[in-house]
Amino acid sequence: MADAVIAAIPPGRHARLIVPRLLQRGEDFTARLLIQHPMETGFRRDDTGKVLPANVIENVVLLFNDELVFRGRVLNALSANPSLSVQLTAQKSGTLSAHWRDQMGNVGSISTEVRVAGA
Amino acid sequence: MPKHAQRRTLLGAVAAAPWWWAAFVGTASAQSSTAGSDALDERVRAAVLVRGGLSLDIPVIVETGTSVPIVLFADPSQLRPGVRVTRLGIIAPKNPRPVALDMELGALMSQARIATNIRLGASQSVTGVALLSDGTVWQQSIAVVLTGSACYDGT
Amino acid sequence: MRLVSLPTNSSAHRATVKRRWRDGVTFFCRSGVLLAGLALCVSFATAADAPKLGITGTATDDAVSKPYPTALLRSGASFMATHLQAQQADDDLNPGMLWVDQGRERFAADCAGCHDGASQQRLASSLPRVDRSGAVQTLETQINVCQTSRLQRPTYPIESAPLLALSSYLAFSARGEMQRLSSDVVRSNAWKRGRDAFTRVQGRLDFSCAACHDKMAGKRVRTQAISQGHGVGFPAYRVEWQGVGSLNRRLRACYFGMETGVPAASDPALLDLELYLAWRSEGLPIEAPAVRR
Repeated sequence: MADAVIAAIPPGRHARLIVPRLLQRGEDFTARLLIQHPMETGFRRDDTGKVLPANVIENVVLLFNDELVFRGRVLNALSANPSLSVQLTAQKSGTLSAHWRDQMGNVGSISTEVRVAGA
Repeated sequence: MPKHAQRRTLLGAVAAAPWWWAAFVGTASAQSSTAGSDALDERVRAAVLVRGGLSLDIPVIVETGTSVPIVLFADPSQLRPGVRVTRLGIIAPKNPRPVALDMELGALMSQARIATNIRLGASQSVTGVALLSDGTVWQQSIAVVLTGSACYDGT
Repeated sequence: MRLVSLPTNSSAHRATVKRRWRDGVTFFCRSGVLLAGLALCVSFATAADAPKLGITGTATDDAVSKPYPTALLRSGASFMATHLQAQQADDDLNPGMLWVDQGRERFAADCAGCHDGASQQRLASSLPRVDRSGAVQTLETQINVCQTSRLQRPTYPIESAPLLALSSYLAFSARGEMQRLSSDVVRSNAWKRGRDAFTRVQGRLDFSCAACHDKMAGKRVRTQAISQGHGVGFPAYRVEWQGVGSLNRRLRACYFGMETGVPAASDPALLDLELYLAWRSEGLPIEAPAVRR
């Protein structure tokens, strides 16, 4: 998606939420969420044999103007630095936002504007 | 079909449900906080698993199990009018935690389609699950072979 | 244990032959003035034999042949599975871009006072270089030179998050630029040391870098295709690392795979190897942050 807006990344949190720059009304588009996160499973050990404590993202929601796009209920096997891509229809301009929480209680969020021509 | 016969068919379907089914539904009800989701879980407990219109796009040979691309897609042309996909999930039976992914879809999604990367701990048959608003469950499985890397990396 | 028998005309073999030849010359020279004339004759004779032995040149020759002519160069991406190629081709799916974003922020905060964006565009494609003292400067060491001399700060440890972010951003800025080094690098001792390290047979498996990456590229180990061993995609996101790592770490991983002693991250021998690798890759575009297995 060459023609895309990269949302500003809040300091200390690193993520990308990418949508096309300008959409026509009724157009189908992909929203891509990419989160920098180790997604530590709790099954790995470090060089000294100590178990690395589990810390995966346990909840993630994607909202458009506070309406639910998706909610991740179980994300056990997402890879490190996970990406989630979904399809939406451009009906009106608004704010797309993602919010997540990991097992250690860290929260993150990112938002981006969806601009629909004439709407 | 008489009512009791219909019930027997449903019970038969539940009995034939794969072992992970309880885990999938169980995990979901343990984690869900809304009454609506619990009600949905009650409905899917007696669900019939059919292949339906779910497609699963995943490489059949994978070199590194830490990140395997997967696309779950529920074909809308296979849906009856007024029915939508409410949840998409992935079951990886040989992973230490077999319920790999469970996503609840809002009405804003134009297609029931999720693309992501998952971890696979071993060669296994990966199953995709789609829950429909009428209680139907679509499932699709693909066998994935994990070959391992050529050079072991200890850095 | 010998998993792959080396072809006798391999670079590694050539290097061994050459080393023995050199040792022989040294022996004759040490045998005294009376033997000097004889030694000269022998060395002439040996030099005349050299082409038959496959010795293609020395570091002082003007034309030093590369393992791969430009037309046959293929970066690591073409040896990856198609899903990894797709992940690299689309920045929105490439997790390495998370590191680039952080590097962009850090560059704006720390470096933009001296450097504008345009001056950085070719930097990564022209590195590593050999400085006046004969030391190799890679992208990572160059960043640390700025840290100490300009910003008066301690150096970043190799593989530390800020260093990976900055190097990813700078390599990304040079994306598409051809790897092109100063033409005199082949005269440097660092290049010679790098070439020798690349061709030296070592480890329990009797491997050398050249045995796989010069001679067997395209063949497979298990399901994985052996690459030509170019570093133009680094810093790269490796799914095995589950993160971005430097070429330095990749080379240490190679030593690990060869079942030989893994050098420390700070070992200058790795810098020599990086220089030699970049010279081998001249003519390939920078494609960092690449996605690798």
